[in-house]
Amino acid sequence: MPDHAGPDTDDLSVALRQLVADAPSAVPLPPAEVHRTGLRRRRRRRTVLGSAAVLAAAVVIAGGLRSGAAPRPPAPPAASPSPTGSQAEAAVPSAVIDADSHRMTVTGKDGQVTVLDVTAGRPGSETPRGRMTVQDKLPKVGMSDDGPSGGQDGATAAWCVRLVRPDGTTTTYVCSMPWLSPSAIGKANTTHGAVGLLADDARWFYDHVDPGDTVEVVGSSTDGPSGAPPSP
Amino acid sequence: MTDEEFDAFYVSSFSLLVGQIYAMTGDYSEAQDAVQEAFLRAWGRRGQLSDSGSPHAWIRTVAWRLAVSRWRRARRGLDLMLRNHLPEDAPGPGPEHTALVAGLRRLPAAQRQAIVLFHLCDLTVAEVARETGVAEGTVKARLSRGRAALAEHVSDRDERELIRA
Repeated sequence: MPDHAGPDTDDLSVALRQLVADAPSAVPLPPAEVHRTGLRRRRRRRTVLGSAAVLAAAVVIAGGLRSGAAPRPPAPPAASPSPTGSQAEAAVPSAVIDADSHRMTVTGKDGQVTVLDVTAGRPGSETPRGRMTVQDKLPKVGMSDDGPSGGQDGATAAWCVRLVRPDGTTTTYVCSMPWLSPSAIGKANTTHGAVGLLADDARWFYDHVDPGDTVEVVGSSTDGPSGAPPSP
Repeated sequence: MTDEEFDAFYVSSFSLLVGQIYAMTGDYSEAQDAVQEAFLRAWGRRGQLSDSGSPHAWIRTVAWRLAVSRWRRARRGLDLMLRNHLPEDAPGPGPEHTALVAGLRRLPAAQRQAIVLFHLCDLTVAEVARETGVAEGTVKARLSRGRAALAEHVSDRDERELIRA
């Protein structure tokens, strides 16, 4: 016991240990629930940051109008399902995937802006750029070993959203691919063309887009090879 | 700290830390909530958690601040509840610990924290000073005053045990 101990300190230590020993045993949340809650909080923080960015942009625009800048037409309403290619060209995208920053900004069904980490196509296998339309949603998609996401033969991607160019020439997927390294998601482009997310994020995105919605892929390489679809 | 290391740390130290915060607060449910919340916050910082020197100290400090903050906000209502509406099945100290818990609760928060870190967590005065962000002399003063205030409660417990024997 350090020099600060006195004659009564042993009693106090014993009493405190006995108090703790007699307490009911603590029941923690399962570790998986801690992970899920942590992810949800991270997403909420980004939502707040995204909303703040939108608010800041609104303030800047309003400031420009007040200072005499030419008035601009009001922003179009939030993205709505656009069943045809021509509408897709004009609509505000439900999601914008930035392959350079490895982020996808999504306007959810609740109107909130959420930013998710992604990993897009790696150099030489870039995710096709430009506007695409959600063709359909598939809870599971089998991948072959030469698939654009690099999955092993027989591997299964989950919560897949299939995107197609308006002219129908190119498709790609946004989904959870369990063979991808989670540490690369949000930090690097590692796939063979599809867009990978963490499983919880993929599920959330799957729930917040519908066939006909517009998704835009942006990034410095605008003419990358077209992404062939994974082989289901 | 990797996900696996975090999970191992979480599972192995949750009960220990709840016990320590319980001793600091005297409220087991509050201690469990505060430690759980501290671990939820720690998960988002798990990459830096091992760089903090002591993950236990990080969790303990966050949980203690949470508990004190909530306690201050809820103090008035809690006092009323304890006086009038304490549920019969709420976990609480047994009769042999009631005096000690009551004594701890009467101590200022800083003295309680110092007492528990020193006497239960077995930290040295220097370690307590580092974890609480005060000078060693301040820690010694808090320990001395806290022990003096608690002495009669601990003595009472010993006397009761003698009488029972």
